[in-house]
Amino acid sequence: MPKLLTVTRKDLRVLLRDAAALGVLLGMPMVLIFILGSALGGLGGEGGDIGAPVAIVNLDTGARDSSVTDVGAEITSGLIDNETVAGIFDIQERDDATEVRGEVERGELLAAVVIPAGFSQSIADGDAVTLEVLKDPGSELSANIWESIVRGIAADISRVSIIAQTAGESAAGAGLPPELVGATVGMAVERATAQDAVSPITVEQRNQTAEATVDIEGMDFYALSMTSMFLVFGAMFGAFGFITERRDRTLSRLLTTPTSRAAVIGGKMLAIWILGMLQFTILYVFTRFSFGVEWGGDPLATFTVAGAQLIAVTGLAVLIAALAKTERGAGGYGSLIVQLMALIGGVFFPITILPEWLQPIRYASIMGWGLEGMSDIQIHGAGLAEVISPILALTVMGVVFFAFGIWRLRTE
Amino acid sequence: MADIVTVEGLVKRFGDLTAVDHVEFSIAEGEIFGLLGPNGAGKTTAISIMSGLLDATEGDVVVDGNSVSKKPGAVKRVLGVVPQEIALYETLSARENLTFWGKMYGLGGKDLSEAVDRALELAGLADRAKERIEKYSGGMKRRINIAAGILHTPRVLLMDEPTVGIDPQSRNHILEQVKKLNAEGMTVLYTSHYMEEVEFLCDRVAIIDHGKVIATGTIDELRAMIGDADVVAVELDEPPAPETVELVAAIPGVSQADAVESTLQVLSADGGAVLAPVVAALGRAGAHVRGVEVTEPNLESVFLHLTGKSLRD
Repeated sequence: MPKLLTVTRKDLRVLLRDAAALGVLLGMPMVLIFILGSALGGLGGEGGDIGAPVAIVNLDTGARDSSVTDVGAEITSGLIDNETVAGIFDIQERDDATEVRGEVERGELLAAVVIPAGFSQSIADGDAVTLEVLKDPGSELSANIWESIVRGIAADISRVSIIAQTAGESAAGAGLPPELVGATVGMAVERATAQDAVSPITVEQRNQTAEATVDIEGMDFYALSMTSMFLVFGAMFGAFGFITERRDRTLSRLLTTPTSRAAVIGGKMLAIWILGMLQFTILYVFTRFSFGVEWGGDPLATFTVAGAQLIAVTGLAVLIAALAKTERGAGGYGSLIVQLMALIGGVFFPITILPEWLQPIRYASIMGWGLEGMSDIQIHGAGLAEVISPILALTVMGVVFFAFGIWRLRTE
Repeated sequence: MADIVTVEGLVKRFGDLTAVDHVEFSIAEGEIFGLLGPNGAGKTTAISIMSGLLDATEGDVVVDGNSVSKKPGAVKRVLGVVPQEIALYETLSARENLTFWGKMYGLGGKDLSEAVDRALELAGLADRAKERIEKYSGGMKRRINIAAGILHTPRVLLMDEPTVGIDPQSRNHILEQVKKLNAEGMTVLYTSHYMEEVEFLCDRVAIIDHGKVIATGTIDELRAMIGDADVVAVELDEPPAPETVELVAAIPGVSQADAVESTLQVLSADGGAVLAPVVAALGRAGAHVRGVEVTEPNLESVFLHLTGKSLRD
């Protein structure tokens, strides 16, 4: 193990002194995220103000007992008064649910929430209630953020309501503090979805059937996709590391020392993984604080998905090193594989714009799985438990690539 | 001294090509053993097998009682290897390189830092230890390349053509280094196609050609294969034609004549006596003589005598 780590440290030192590689792995994605995000995502304003039009239709007039909290009004004011929500959406308070449904359908509104009549009374009675979320399917990312916020609010109301009833107090105690609304903003949906199991409130999602309009938050989308793609580029540079050492005979020299082949190869793979995690961390922090990109409410889950993606990347590095004889060959194989995986993995456009029958093609791509996990966390507020499938799939991909690679890898 | 390295019936085939063909020799502890042969003779392949990089098709190498095929780890702990290529990390400094290679040989802590300091001193580059290897000259890189193989003070040092492509000053420095290491007790296997280096360094030599050892012995034993012959080296304007070489070979008193580029090498029991007839025959054949030298036999002439070709061919 110490020798494995010595190889890793040496490789990291060599890689970190390679200005060209660092430029590609760090500089390029930052530039691309900025350019693509700005061009397609409406960058501008503090915190990435998008100003997407959404509507609240509050048909709830409160409970019969006036001492019981008017939950519909609390939700409405909570959303309208919340600065973060207001920073993302242009919220309109409306009365006519039918009219609003039509506007969402025509793409004039991005999304809406309809609080049904009798909502407060139903909660006070302990009955199941439903919040209706309307979404323009063409504006998936923004609309999902809206849905996530509503889900979070619904879950919080449920939780407060259940606590109050369990404590034997009046339902009046179930008032919704505005700060609770704020806490749900920023896609803290993991908690919301987890509470759904015991919640008497369900959120009914309706995708309106209007022709889709392209109005995605480019910065959020491209932060994920470009980062995911450039993590896979790390495989190419990892393969370069193997090939350069093979060409310069340092690899064979290493194998003349009393060091196992496993320690040499393992050390090099660990270096690729660590460099990738470093790259991911830098891009995560950079996009989060420079562009206000929301990566989701569960950094542990996000970093675990990234770590799994990098396991696949290290396996791919060994495979490319085995296939290519020269750096130029590795560049050729690497670029081909990365671009193909990017194309089918949904890096350049959301995979949902492909015909439904074609969408599973993304599962042949490291980026497809990586983006699925990360966007689940970002958009749907998924936690670690909900992204186990992509994590496992990426790990299996890494093992398969490695197995093929190590079978063919020449050290001489 | 007991043998510390024994090469037994070593064969290595790559498809139809037999790179090493039943090679056998042994090296006594404390000696410098030379493996002399032209490029492509199989020297590097033999070293690769001895250092555990390649598996032999047949035969085995035993180092300090351990078989390289059965206990490669034990063999590698005894060996230091200096490859023909400069196998260093260009963007790391000399000290960083040596520290890394020292760790790979199992050194650590104070032992490692002392070994690195010692190796830098031996290479004569202690004052430039912090510079990246990419800024070094070819000769300086060669010296660090050797230093990386001796950090752990191996009992047996395998050096594969360690002076290829460097200036005479660095070459002399390296040869002196090897002598010094050997004087400290290190056994050395030194491969080269430079006859002068092998003659200067080695106690015993195996001459290898086309994967086969064609002669083994001390320098004197190998020279004696030619007998008491003198070597008459006639330098010509251009390589002599085959018929010119045959004409010279037919002169009474000439035991062998071979062309090595534009030099005609003539073996004779009495070099002085055949000198005039040889020059006259060359004149008749239209060859222009630029210089003549009569010398004692050396390994070059031994190789020529055994194979009919030059070490540089």
